[in-house]
Amino acid sequence: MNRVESAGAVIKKRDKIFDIKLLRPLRILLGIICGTMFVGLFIDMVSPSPLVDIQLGPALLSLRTDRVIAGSALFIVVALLLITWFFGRIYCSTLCPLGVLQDATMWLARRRQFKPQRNQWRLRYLLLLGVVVTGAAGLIIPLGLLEPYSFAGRILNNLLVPISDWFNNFIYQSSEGRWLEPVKSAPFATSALVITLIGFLLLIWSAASRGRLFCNTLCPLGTLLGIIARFSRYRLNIAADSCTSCRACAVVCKAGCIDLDNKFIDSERCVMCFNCINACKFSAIGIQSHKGVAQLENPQKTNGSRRRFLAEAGIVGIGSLAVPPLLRQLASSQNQLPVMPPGASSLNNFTSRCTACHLCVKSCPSKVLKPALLAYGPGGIMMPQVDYNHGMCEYSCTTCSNVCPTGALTPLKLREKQTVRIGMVTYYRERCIIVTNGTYCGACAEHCPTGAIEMVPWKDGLTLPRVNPEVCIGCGGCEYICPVQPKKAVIVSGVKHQDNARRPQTTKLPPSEKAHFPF
Amino acid sequence: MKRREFLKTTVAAGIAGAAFGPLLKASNKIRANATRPDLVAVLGGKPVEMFEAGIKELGGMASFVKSGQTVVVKPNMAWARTPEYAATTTPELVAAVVTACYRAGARVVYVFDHTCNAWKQCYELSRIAAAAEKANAKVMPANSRTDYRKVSVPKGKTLTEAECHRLVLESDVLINVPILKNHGGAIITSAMKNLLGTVWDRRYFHRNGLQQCIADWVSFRKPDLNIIDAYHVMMKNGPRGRSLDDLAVKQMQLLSTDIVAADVAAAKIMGFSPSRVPHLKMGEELGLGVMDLDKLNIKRVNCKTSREPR
Repeated sequence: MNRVESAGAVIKKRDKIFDIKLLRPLRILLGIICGTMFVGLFIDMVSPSPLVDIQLGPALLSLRTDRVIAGSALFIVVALLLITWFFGRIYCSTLCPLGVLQDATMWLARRRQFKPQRNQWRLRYLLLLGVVVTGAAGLIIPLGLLEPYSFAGRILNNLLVPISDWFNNFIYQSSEGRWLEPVKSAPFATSALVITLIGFLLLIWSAASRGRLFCNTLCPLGTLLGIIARFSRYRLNIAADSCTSCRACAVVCKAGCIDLDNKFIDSERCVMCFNCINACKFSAIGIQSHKGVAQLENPQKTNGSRRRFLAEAGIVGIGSLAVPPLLRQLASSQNQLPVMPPGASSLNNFTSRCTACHLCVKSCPSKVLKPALLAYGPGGIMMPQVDYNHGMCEYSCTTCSNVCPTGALTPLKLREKQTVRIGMVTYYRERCIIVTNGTYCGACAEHCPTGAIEMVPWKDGLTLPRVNPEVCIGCGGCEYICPVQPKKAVIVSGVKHQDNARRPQTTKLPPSEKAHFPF
Repeated sequence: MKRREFLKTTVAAGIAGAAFGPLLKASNKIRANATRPDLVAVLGGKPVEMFEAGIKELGGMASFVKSGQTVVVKPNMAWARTPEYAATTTPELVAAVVTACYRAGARVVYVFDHTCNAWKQCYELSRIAAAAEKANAKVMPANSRTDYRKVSVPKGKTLTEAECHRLVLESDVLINVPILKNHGGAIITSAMKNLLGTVWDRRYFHRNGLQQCIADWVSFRKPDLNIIDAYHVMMKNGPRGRSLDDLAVKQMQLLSTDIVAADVAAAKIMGFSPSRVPHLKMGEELGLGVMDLDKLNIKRVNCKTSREPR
């Protein structure tokens, strides 16, 4: 056995093991509270939720933004890492929405017994390295697809929100408007639904059959927290003298990280669910302080493969560096840019920060945001894009940029947002109803908040739209309301950099004459 | 003695009351019929004052709302703009109309609009929802297709079918409370155009000749009373408006049962020749009202002078 105490050979007596049976119910309670709040946030029952701000993934990503939020994000990151350094991965069993979802799945599937899992350290380290390097090189979606908060957000937005919306409207309709208010449903995004559904099914299958497999293989945050938890101050341990090797603990371990042959619990993979404490009839397993004790070497991990791992890490690292430019090349070969939500700043900024958690998609009151399939290229799958078929980006709204937890959208004040150009309008005169039918319309100008489309006299008393590009902010009011079918006569296309439009200027009216009725 | 006196007075008062009551009522009725103007134009006060002065000339809200009736008050709150931009009806005016309806005995008063911007923001920013709710109105959403019913428009020339908000169909009285504005497509938006907020698919209107469709839709359900808010009037960049510079202070209000006449007067307030606004002529052709104001009995009220000591 490799139970070597600290190098100085100062044998320090290990502290007592505390088998606190209360920890498990406490963990379950916290998990239920956080899980419920998280679901509540997405189905509009809880808002605004501080729960999103304390998620590790978004907080880590916010560190890269030069915003006020970076201060609070730094505090949250430090706090979460300190908690992990002290108590191990309790984050994974309480605050992590995907962790709670997996626990709930196991409970619903009545899965109470698990097999020990192989320590997939090579896979998870390389994966973490890969997504971090890709992210640093400007492409965050690989991380976003695995990051548990964003994963959970996509599940809720694409699978649960449509159901809750439908149910809401059903109650509204059947009560003839007495109960609830009708909600506008988001545009149906088949690709997002299918991709999320596949991910969701794989996740619940893995949870129902293999416990916390995802958390110790694919989850980049699990890997990161695991590395810290290796050195955690308080962790679960087995008292060799009172343990009878009855396996009761190992069987209930969702992470499969209890090695009874070596009386070793891998704190790197342990998600601190405390099932084992309550399963042990001999009080032989519990929390133990590791102060001043050298970190135990994991018996499973000592097969002299450090050199091989370094070589693999080198390959993955360099390979990941090459991925973003490659995908960007693919994306730029597409001719039309998607319209990004206001505050995205630039295509590069947005693709390097948005993890596609879909909180903005869910929060948008006019439901103009929709998850993209390939609009941003293959490297921007599931990222939100603006779709004007069912609404316009409201002139008086700054919701999306202010809910974004990762800093992919810079929070905008209303006055700022009203000049941020997210797209540019093009008017196709040959399709316009006024030209083709000779009738009055002007719906586009009617909806334009900045005067980027104005009606100017044409012929027979009719007026025709005229575009003033310098004040166009690309809000899409014109495109949304344009009655022309099938191809609209005003189309807004995306811009690579969201610059500022000129603030609309108006001239003062001549002072009105003394009031009298003109009839 | 005292008791007899009391008895005498009571009996006398009773007889007098019994005789005088119907007499008074009849005289009122005669007055109303003889002098009820076709159009009341009010000038010079705050919107609520002008409404109170104007509705008095029409015999009070009781001439339009009977006890126990359900009422729809349809303001213009189509845009997510605050009241000072005058893109939406003055909230206090809407509240005053609602209160008047309840005083006249209305069972329930509904307020809604099928908005152009996101409805909750429109309802909130225009401050109409809050004001109307304070006056006890039921502020209803109108952004869900499930609230609309397919109806045929028998008189319609272009628009023969549409989906109408169910509350318009279910309610006894429809009171139209638009705000007067310039309009890029319809030239003006006033009483007739305001009714687009009771229909589901307004794109159909734009696609098939907006002007005729506006008139056609009015023919489906003529409002029982139109109250046009022309205090601040958006003279350009309508119907949304861009800044306060678009507004002129006219300090006027029009009240009429004749939707065409009211809109003709409104067009004139904006300085437009009514012939420039095709849906007015189309409305007259459908028999919805009279364009020639000279043929009508117009009552002009000046709020300021009327409040001056006699």
